[in-house]
Amino acid sequence: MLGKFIAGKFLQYLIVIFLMLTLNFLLPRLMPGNPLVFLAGEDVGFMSSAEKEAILDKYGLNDSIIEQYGAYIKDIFTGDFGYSYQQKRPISELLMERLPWTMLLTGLGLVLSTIIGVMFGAISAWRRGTKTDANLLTVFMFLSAMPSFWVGMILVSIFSAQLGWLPVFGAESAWSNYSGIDRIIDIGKHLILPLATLILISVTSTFMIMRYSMLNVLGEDYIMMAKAKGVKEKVIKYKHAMRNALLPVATVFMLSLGFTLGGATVIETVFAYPGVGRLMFESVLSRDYPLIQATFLIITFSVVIANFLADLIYPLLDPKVGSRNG
Amino acid sequence: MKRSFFSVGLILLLFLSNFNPVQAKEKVQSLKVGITKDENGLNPYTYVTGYPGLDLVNLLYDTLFILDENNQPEPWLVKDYKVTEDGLTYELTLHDNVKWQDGKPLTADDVKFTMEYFIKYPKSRFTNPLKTIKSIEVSGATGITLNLSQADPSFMIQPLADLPILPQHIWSEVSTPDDETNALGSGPYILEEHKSGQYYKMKSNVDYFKGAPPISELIFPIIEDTTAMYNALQAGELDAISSSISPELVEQFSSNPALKVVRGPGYSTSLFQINAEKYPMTETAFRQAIDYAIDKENLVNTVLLGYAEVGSPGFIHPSSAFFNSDLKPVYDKEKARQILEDAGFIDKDGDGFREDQKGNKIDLTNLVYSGNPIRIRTAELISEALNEIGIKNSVKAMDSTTVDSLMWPDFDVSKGRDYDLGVWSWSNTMQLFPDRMNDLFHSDPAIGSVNIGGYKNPEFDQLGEKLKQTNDENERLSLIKDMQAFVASDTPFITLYYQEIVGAFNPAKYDQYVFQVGKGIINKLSFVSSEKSDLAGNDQTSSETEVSADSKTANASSDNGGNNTSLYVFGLILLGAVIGFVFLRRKKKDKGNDDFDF
Repeated sequence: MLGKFIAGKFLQYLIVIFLMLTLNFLLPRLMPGNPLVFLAGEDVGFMSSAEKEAILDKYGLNDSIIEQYGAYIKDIFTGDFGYSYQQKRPISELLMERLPWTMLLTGLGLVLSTIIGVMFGAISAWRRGTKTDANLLTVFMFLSAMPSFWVGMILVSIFSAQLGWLPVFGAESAWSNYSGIDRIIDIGKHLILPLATLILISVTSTFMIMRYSMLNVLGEDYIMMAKAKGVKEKVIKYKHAMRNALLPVATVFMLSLGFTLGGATVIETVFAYPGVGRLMFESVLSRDYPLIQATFLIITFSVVIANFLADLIYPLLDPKVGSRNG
Repeated sequence: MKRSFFSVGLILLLFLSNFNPVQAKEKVQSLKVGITKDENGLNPYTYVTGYPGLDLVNLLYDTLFILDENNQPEPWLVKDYKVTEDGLTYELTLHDNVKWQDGKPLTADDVKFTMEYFIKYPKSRFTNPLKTIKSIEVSGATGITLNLSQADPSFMIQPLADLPILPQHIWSEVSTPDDETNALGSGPYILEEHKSGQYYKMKSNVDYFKGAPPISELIFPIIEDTTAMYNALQAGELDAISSSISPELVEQFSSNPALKVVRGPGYSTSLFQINAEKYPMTETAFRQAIDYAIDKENLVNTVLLGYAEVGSPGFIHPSSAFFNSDLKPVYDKEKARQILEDAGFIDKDGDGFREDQKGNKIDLTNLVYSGNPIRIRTAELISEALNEIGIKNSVKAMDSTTVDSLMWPDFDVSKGRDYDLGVWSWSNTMQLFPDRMNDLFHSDPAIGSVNIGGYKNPEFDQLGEKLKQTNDENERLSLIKDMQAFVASDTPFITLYYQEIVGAFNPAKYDQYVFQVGKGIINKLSFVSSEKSDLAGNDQTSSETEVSADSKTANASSDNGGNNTSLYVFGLILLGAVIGFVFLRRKKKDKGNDDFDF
């Protein structure tokens, strides 16, 4: 039964993936402009038409759209992302350089903001209608209303430019050849501000979900029952209420997990953090088709996989889902 | 006892440190210069931007001549040179102690090889200027003679002061130069490391033929966000930056005691581009009215806060030797209205906007790059001015690639254009060569390769043809002045301003920067030690003006600093208020309600 469930889901996902691959191919080409200036360099204006054509030929941009699509699909199935037009390096190499940083930043950001959001969400719901609840809501709404680049710049100007405590840019002082514990400290220092920004702007969604989910659970009869039985407050709070309320949070967590590989473009740009988000942004600006395709592909794939995993894990977390299907 | 040794040591150190500053000027351990883009491989085929990309390339490679801070060519790899009177033969003698960074000698054969290589594998910037060379003769290790098929007045600038010389023993085996990653040259610095998207690291080439360069290790961190770059410089994490400081921040920077700010003329030319192929912009009167409606001086003062020079209607920068000083920018709204009335652009239906000569409504779009606040403000002001004289138009900001694809599809003017008006800008090379007037306005796409307005005027074409056939310097000068006058009256586009370049650096770390006119402080001259005294001497007399701390601007800057601090204070108070609010209310609540109140 479970096998059939998985197979059905799998087929669904195959269709989704195919659609995404196609969109992924078409979108960059539907954008106005083309990568010529980035292929030819700054003095593209002084090139003859023949020279420009030669460049487009070299990169296969004069082939028909069908031919290009064929080559693209073939490349994907051979696991070859090709060369970046702009950086003239294998894309897999570029991604391997950027992915660890992105995963460090967004992964840690997701975990921490989830923990913080869950904690405060639970407190807020537990004390629903009190001033604590109202205050927490105010603070979190305030946080979510702040644009990330603004938060980032304020943090930089206070902690880096004014106080000089933390570095302004980069993921590490790579040129200073730190090693071992020094390097870890260096990376940590560089991580604090972008991570703080990321948490500040993303924590609210978990908070809100946790709060509403917890409120729902607290309204259930079994909580009333537990209270009537005289079960300890702590036990009701942590065992009966919070654990059950975590389910929607888990879903959102899984979905966000898919997006972590896409990086946090704005924050990476403000802090000059060498992540995938920035790579993607650059590739769009420079119409670097292969790189656009590769970075978007990573995001789409990881979102699909995270969804798939969520579907698989959900029955385990909540036996009710599994039993309905099985 | 130990303690006294320690203090003696400290005193000694103090003494030594007193001497250090003198040495520090000659040898700097490590210097960090922020750049905004990854430039890929730093060889002449793979770098990305003309500035600062090519300047980084030039730290690794050498050219035969070099442009000094006023953009006049001076010998570099070349020791002696002779040019025949007809301008057709260049006899060059190289320095004889030049070595590639791998120790092999650089000879005249490498020069010949490089010129032939760029013809074989074109890279338009370097290849096109080489096309006038008819033959190359090598004599011995250092002698080389270039025979030209026709005299070329800018031959010393391009190719001679522009073409990086490649090592034959490496490039003779390279057949796909666009994918080549090798960056070994003969230059003052050796590329040690490049981390994509993060930084370049160079070390000094101690065997450099002009003497070891003054900086042992040069690091170029890549920071795309200019605000982040400014912050890093303010915080002391960078020692200099490649990008010019935006006008509104100049005062804040000059009030920072740790930084020195230098400003000077820039050659990047901002203009109001007109699609001269599309009615009603085809009408000269209509274009002239636009010119009269725009207050260029006001743009310089309000948008650029004075950090720019008002555009000459003839395009060419006032500091150029070819500048036509008879031309003055115009601004007269009444006259603009009059011109439109006379030409038949009259508001017949009384909606406040003029109709065209056939009575059809006019509604134009004014394109601008969305990533450039200065240009957007410029576009807004112009749009307002045009609305005031009754030309209905609106600003549309789009990303640069999209704007390019509308105004200059495929970067090929023969492929037409799809826009009305736009705020545009040409980079500094356009001002280096007065002959570029032909590229800008000639109606034949093969000659007018950057005539993105599709401007056509046989009279101008005649002037252009004449210029191409003239070698005499005086005749050329008068022709170029005529062309400027022609352009000023016929207004194919409107030159708005030349934004100044404002550089900033940390003088405690290194202060031997040279401000190159039209470019700024990040150039090869800033990072080599030879002839430094000479250049430093010129420094005083060059057109560069330093923002001094006691000038009027400094007063304004303290106000500006105040504004900035108040921003932080405001932010902190806001945060404090929120936190205080929460805590106060929580305390009250703790006294009162029960936790089980749900």
